[in-house]
Amino acid sequence: MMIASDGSKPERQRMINIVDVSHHYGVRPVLSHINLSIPKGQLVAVMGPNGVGKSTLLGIVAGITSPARGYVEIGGLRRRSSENAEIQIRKQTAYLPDHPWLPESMTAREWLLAIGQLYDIESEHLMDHVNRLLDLFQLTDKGDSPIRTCSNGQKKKVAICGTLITEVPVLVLDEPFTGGLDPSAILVLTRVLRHLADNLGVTILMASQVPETVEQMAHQVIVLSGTRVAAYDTLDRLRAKTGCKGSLPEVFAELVHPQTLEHIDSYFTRPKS
Amino acid sequence: MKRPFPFHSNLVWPAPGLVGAFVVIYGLVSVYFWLIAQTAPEPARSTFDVPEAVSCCEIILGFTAALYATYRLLRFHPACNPGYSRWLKLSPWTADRPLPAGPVHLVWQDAVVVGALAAIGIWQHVNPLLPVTAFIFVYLAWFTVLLAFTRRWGSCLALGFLWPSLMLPGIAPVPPTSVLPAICVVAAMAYVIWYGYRQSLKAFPWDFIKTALRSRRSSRSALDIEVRIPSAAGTLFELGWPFFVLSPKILPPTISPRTNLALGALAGWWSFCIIKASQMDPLPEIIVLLTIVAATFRLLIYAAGAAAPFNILGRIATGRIIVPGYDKIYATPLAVVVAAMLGGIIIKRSGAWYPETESIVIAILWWVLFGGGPTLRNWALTGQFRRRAPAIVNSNRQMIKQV
Repeated sequence: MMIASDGSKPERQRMINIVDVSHHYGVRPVLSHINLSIPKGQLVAVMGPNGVGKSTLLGIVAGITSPARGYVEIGGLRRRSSENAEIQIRKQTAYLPDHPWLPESMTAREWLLAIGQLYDIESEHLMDHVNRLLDLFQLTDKGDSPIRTCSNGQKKKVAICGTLITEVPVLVLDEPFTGGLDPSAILVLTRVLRHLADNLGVTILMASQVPETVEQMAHQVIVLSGTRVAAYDTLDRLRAKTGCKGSLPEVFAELVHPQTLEHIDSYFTRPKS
Repeated sequence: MKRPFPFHSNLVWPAPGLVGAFVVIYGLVSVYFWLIAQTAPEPARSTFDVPEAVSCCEIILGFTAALYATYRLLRFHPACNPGYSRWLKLSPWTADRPLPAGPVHLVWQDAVVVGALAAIGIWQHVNPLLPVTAFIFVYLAWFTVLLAFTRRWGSCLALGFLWPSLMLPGIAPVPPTSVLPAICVVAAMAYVIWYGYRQSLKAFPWDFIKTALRSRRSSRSALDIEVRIPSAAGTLFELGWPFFVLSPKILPPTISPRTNLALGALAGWWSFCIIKASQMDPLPEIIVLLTIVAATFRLLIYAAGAAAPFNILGRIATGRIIVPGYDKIYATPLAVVVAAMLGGIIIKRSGAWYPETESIVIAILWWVLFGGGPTLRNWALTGQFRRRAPAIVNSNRQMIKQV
């Protein structure tokens, strides 16, 4: 069953379509019969307990992993169905993994220019965009030094810039807010992603464990539990569904671990032995 | 009327320093052997009665002629001099005019230099044809390389067939065989080279060479990166993870069926010439062994960084023993190994026709190995696999932990 999204005319507007995707590592199932449809211009956050398969799902959408069963469509084209379809999909998709690797000997500016050229961004516009991105993420000083001289947080910023410089209509971001980002970078990224989705129609699928940012920016939230999708809806509807009026962590706990709050109470109330 | 290729140019004379160095080295060696000849218990009549002296002269003269042939091409060919090539690109030079820094083709001054070496050979009782032959062969060999460098593939293919034919009995210039067939082959090679060279000049500027010659460290400007990034597999890794596996632009190279056909035919022809020249016995076992190595190599290239979507245990547990989207990489290696075994049996039974049979089997194995699907590009884009992050990503994680 295709899980509904709140967008109007979802069939016409859907940008990412995940159809009956199942995956397992060895004999351990990770994802079972996942069906999701993400409309264009939506910022969708994937949440779930550790090890539930968020990164696997994003890797499948991004094209890093081929699912054991099922398939993914992006922009109406099926992933890996033909050479041309795959190239077209690659042209409109950028992926930020949880542990990106950057070429240490290149400077951030060189690397960003190289990535921009991969996606056929026009030269002058590309240089200008690189400058704006470096400014935005406070990397201007480090922009012309080898990436190896950057701190972990700065490397993460460069990796994010590498994803944004592509200017593609579909972004797949695995834990973009982790990895040592400073509060200012988190604020910038939150606003930029929301702007891309709202104003430029960019579809963003993002795994995040930071409820504050998800609450602030996501149009919809996918909650994975076990190997399946426990819920896929707007935060308001999730609240209505669970009957929980609290913050996202509480809604999340209600959906995934309903006993979480009781466990906390019992931890503190249990008599010392 | 302008003569496009005048056969004289004083620019090609070797530098006086080089000539001086040759004279000094040759003189010292001659003096050394003269002293040996004079101080021997039974003094020889002349230096040339000492066999080592003649051998040494042969080596020096042959080496000098080869060096001169190398100098003639590497010094004057624009493909070997990036600075010259860049300047030439900006100049009003066109392919129908002589190269301003000096000709690459032979001029009468070359005949003087090589003739001088041959004359020294006559004086020193060395076969005068030795420096001449060394010059011609090294010159042709370097030119073949340069034609490949400037991507004149048609000429390269023709030369690929002509070169090994010099080994064939009846053509190889070995007494008592007549040298006429060898001269005919060399003349054919010279013609192919001349034609390829003219075509390569017409195709100037060779922008593809710029990317190959560009050093890693020199790329610091945006323009440089533009040229450098889509160049070679070596730089692909510099795009970082995951861009180097998800790039929409840089994809694995693919051998076209036509190229594969030509290369397979070349492999078969070279094998035939070598077997004929060396009177080698049939070696089907070696062919099978090499085929297994090559098939394994192909499999490793395809499987590098691309794991099956799930492992053996997963296959057994789910009952999906064969995963067609992934297991197709095994098809061609298996087919080629089976073909090698069948070919081995045919070679064993071919009797006196074994050189022909063996070379045909080799050509067929080549075609199957490199032409069998899926192509590397098709595999990279449509294969059902799981990309593994390179080891360097994991090493980066370790570094992060240490920090």
